[in-house]
Amino acid sequence: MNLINIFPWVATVALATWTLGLIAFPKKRPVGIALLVLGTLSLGACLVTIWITLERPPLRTLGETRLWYSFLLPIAASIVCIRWKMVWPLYYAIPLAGLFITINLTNPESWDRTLMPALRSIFFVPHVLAYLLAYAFLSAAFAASLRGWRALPGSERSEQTLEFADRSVQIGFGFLTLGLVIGAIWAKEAWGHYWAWDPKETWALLTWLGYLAYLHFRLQHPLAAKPAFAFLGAAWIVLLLCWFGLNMMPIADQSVHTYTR
Amino acid sequence: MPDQPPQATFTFRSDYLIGATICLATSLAASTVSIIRDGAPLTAPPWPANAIVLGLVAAWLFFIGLKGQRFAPTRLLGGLPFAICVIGHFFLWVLVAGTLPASDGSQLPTLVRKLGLSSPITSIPFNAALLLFLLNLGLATAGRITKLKKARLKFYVSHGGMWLLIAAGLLSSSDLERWELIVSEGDATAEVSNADGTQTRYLPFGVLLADFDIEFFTTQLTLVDVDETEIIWQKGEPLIDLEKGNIARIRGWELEVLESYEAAVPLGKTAYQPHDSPFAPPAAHLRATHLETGRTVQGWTTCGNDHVPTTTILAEGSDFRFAMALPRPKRFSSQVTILKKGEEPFPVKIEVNKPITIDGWKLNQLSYDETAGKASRWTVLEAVRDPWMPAIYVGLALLALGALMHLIDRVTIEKLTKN
Ligand code: HEM
Repeated sequence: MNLINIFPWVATVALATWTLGLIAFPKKRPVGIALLVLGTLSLGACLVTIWITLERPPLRTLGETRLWYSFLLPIAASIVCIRWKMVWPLYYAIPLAGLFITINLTNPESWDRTLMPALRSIFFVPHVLAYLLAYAFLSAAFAASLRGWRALPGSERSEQTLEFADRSVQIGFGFLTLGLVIGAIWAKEAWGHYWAWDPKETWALLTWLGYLAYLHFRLQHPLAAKPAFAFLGAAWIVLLLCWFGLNMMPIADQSVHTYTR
Repeated sequence: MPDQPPQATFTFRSDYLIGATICLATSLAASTVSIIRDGAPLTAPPWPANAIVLGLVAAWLFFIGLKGQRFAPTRLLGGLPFAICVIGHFFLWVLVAGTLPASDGSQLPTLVRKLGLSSPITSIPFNAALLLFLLNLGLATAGRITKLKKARLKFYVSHGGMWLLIAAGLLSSSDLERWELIVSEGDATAEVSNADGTQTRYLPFGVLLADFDIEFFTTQLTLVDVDETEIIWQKGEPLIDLEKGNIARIRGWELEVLESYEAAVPLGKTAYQPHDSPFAPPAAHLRATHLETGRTVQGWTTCGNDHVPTTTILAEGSDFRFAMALPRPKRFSSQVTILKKGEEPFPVKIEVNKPITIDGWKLNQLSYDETAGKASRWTVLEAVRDPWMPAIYVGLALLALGALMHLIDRVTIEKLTKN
């Protein structure tokens, strides 16, 4: 168990290297990249350590999912950045990842080894990972929308931002759909039916519908940048409600999926 | 904003207006019907009527797709503005249903009950919203048949898959059977009942429970108040496995697990000894040393059960007691023998997440005698028959494939940015 207690140190290292990396990036690009990679890799190493120590995939509690998210968000943003040769999204995505790490630092985990029988399935890891990847890409889109909202409509900056957001949503929505499909098949195996209108399922569907509406809205109104950014903000709120808010709602007791402890 | 040419803006606006009106009217009509019917659940027609309906609707859509594109109404109902309307409309109904507690509905407001919202799948307004969704999706997919070359495969895969999934899901609900099967060790039964026990039927085979097996995680330490009325352990505090030799710190105490038994019975007043009875609870011998004062307490703790009382250890000078948390199940399974007329009995194991399939019936491990824990002598299985499963799985597979195609394909977005 002791190895796990290094988490606060790793998180602090990640926060520090990310900050330094973002500062160094514009002037000394290789140094910046090295620092950002180092911070992200240290979180990855921490996840592996936790996985091994707990003898189960660390994807069960809210804090564990936040940790994955902080690891995946910089990666998701980098993929889109590298593919479409952009730099600025990192300045939005990495602070957001840092925020989630900070939440974890202020909410210490108990690191529970136990995993209920229903979660012992080959679908567990792909299902939750697909969702967390989706959350990472969709959050990158949200982070971009903050920039776009302040940009002048029709300006280069606004269009560039919208392009990044659309590409992130396209990938994120793909993962969201995969997560949903894997979840349905898993539910059939574990509970006898694909869909039970369980609160968590309902909110996952709402999140999916939100981004589905966004995709079709963009097809219909390719030039309406401001409404698109506002749309991304609203959809992200639904996503957060699904991820965290549910545990605070009165219906949480009835969900078999709420992350406990 | 000069986003669209003025005329186009006007057309879109009126499309949205018409779309929103259709959604609103549908909701009002469906809600009225639901209230008049006093919230009676809506059920899909049973086999083969549902399959015929599905075939007819698909044929009708195909026909409209071939011939109907000249008509403005079909273009509108299969178009993007209407898609945005129906997605938003359905979103609102899901939102209403999703924020309500899912229960039998008895403690919900009358209106909610009359709209059938505690069980969306049989609610009239909810299904009406889904039908609009299906209408748009169906017309959009069918409308591309005549433009086959221009349309891309991924459009068919995602939209067609989605359509099949929802249509089959809606229509198949009447053919889905879910029953509970409860059987004790050494007994055999073919009788199953629904969840509230009001209906029963017989499976075409018998199930004999040879053995029910359950495995627990190593028990963990918890903290209770001095009066043993409440657990006061809090999230963020370490979870300490009560495993022999384990040393850990909590609330200023260093704790050492001197002995730990998976099953034990009291030996006199102050000790425990291992026992192999299924009715014996786990027990652990702990020594705790206060890190500042050096004070030491030592003793046995057990979570207890119906036969053995709970014991805890007072952390002298602190306001809590060391206690053992109830063991958490790691896996449980039923070793059963399937009995079929004219066939050799054959043994199978049914575990959570590992159902078995016999003659079109899926048997899932559902539950056990939770109050007895590892002494449970019976098991609860779920028998599920779902003849539409292949259709649903094809729909899910197409949807997933469509998602993957959209994920790796850049065409859409490039088209978007060119606009
Ligand atoms: C997995 C889910 C979905 C994805 C990834 C998706 C994606 C898309 C894409 C990329 C297009 C543009 C097609 C092209 O130009 O080649 C499109 C068009 C469209 N989608 Fe979807 N969609 C999905 C589900 C839905 C649903 C559920 C509806 C309806 C409720 C819908 C209604 C429409 C309509 C009406 C069009 C316009 C068709 C046309 O103009 O001919 N889609 N969708």
